[in-house]
Amino acid sequence: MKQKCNISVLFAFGIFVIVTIFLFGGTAGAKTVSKGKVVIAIGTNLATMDPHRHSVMYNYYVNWATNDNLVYRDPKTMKIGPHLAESWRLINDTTWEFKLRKGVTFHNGNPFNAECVKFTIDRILDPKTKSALRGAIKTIDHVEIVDDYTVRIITKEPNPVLLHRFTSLGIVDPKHLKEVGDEGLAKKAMGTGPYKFVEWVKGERLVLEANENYWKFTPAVKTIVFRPIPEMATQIAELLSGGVDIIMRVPPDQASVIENSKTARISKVSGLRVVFLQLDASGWAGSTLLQNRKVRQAFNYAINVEGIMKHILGGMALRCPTGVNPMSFGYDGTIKPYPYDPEKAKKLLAEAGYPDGFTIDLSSYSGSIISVKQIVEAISGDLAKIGVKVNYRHFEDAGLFVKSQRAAKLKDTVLSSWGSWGIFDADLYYYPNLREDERFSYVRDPKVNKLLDEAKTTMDVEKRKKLYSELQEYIVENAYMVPMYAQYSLMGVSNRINYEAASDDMLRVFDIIWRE
Amino acid sequence: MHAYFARRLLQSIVVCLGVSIIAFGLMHLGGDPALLLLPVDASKEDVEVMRKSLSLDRPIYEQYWRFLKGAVKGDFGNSLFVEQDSLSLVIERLPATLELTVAGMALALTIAIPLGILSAIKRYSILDNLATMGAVFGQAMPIFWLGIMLIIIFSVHARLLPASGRGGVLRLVLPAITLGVFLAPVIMRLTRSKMLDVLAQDYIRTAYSKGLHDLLILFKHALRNAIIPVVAIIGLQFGRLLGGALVVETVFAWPGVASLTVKAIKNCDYPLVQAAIISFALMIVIVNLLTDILIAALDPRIKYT
Repeated sequence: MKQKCNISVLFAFGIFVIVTIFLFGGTAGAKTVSKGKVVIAIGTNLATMDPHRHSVMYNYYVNWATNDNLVYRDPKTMKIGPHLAESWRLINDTTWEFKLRKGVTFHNGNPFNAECVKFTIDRILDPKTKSALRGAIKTIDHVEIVDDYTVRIITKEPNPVLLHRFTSLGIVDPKHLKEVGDEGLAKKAMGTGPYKFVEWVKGERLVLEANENYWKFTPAVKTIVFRPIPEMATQIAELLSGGVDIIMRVPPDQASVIENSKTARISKVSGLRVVFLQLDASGWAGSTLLQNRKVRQAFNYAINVEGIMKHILGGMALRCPTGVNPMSFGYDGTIKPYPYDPEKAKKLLAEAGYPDGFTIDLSSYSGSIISVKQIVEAISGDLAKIGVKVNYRHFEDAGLFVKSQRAAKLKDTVLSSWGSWGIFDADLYYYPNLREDERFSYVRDPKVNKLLDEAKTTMDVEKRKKLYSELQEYIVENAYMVPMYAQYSLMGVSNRINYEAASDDMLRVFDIIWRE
Repeated sequence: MHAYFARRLLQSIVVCLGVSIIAFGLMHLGGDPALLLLPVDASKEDVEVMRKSLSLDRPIYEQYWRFLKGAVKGDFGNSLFVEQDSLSLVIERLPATLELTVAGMALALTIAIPLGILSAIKRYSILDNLATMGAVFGQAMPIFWLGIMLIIIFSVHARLLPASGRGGVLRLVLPAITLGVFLAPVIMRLTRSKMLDVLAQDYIRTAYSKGLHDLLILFKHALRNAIIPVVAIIGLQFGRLLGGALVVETVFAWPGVASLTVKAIKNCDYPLVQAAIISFALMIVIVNLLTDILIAALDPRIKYT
């Protein structure tokens, strides 16, 4: 009896399938339809749906899905391409003209046009908005609307990286904002992006749904859910048990658990974040022996960076001989790093007048540097070999660390990292870390200042490249830091989907596709 | 009685005031919210603009006074990171924390009290030894470790229960067990030792010799006396319960008040921290008051004047 029942069910199902194919088969190939649900784990709660009021990476994953930007960074080449802006040109060194895409609408049906661009930029620049992005684009003097689909952006001085900034400005709808106000935008996303806002239960989940009328393509995944899961062990358990499909920032020592599972895999890529040891070359945080160039060079010879990359990070790092990420604009691959040579380091210390070594401070913090404590131990061990004792101070609280460093309270050396906000350009890393009077700079050198300032405002690509080559050579020669490496970023991806990690650490949820 | 409660209420206001001053002072020793709100490469000028717009450039006493004036009216100000009133952010998360703590506590009580009683009656039996061993084990086990072990066993391997998050009874099971195991040992051991104390009393022997039923003696005469210190301890443990809830909320991605508060502290989100801490202080004061009332109800000899 039971057997018979199953057969009849099977039979009915078979007919159903045939009829379905018959009825819908013809149209299925013509247009892709979004389907299914993908869950993404993020490490912290989302703060807001307002793309201008935060500086949290996870929050940008959502912004990029709901609010389009003027330009788009390709996940493979990291090059900037058109998006809401179809094309652009420089009228002169400080005037950019953007031609905007026509026929794009916000999720509420309002049209996208030049007014939206002007409004968005003006909103960010207005101090009352308290926008975290203001500093990034304050070089903009004003925005002129030429016609409905043409805007001119006039900057105070030439700015070669401005285009990069436009990858994350999140274009908003002025009419909508007028209706709902700042508080309304903070609660509910409204943009022209590939995903529409559905629901946000704070601390629990954010639900987005595919925008089937998206101007560029139809996303493969119908529903995207973001779930804040603070604990990495829990994120991994969720990935392995099928509760979530993507987890970001997997620690390298946990990678094998995921690799060995049947449900998920690791996708890894060399990231933009660089790790380096800052040396107080100017005595900014109090007079120090590191003001002596020979001592700084000795540190460069003494620290076995390649050893750290190999033994602590398991090879998941990319050497940066000048500190600049090799993927960034301006990187000069002809400059060689200091080799690991403790004997030479000892000799240099003796020449500098410290044959018996001395004690220095070293500060670090928990957060962005992978295996930070082991790396500090390795550095301390290497320095001990040349007679330098390390007085180590670790900050669990990144906020206190940043505050202390900005107030010049961290003496001698700091193990730092720099993410450059997804912008692959030497300026974003060198300027804040080397320019005199910049917030994290321990360097006071007129030549460095001059080169940095010039490169920052040079629009000619080749000339700019030369300036950075000269600068990198000078930095290495003077050992203004111990350049180390760029970290890999690892993400865990469920075997249900296809998605690859991108070097800029962004998650492009609209690029997720189903595995057939 | 009324005078007593009026006094307690007055005390609780002083407690909240003290807590808020300490929290305010400590928060200002930590990081700077303007720096955390801005990207790390923000210039000095950007930071100044942000500090000004958040009124952080005013002297501390002035900031505190401004906060206090609002707080009296129940207005703690908007969170610095979210365009929303701080108190409403806390209240939004309260049901999740209550759900978790009530479930954890209920589980702890249903395990610990019967086990404590049984261990006392069958002193030094196998059951007693096992229960005591279990209690020591439970107390020694770090709560986050237990949580992760439960996830690995029941979610990753057995695939019986979801690993984290909130919504539905299934998602509550593992966090409630974790919190329950964290709370049960103290209650169980106290119940056992108090029961042993009471069972050795003369009036219990008298009750037995009168020929009263064993169960009647156990529950009416022994337990009612033994339970009073247990109730007192449960009240005092309320703070520990919130601490445990924090760990459980983090491990299980449970969207409660405790994890919200810790995040707010890390962000130096002053208004939100204040709203959360005052709420906690109030809750602890109220729970202690309720405990006092309950004890008086259990033991008519206790009178508050």
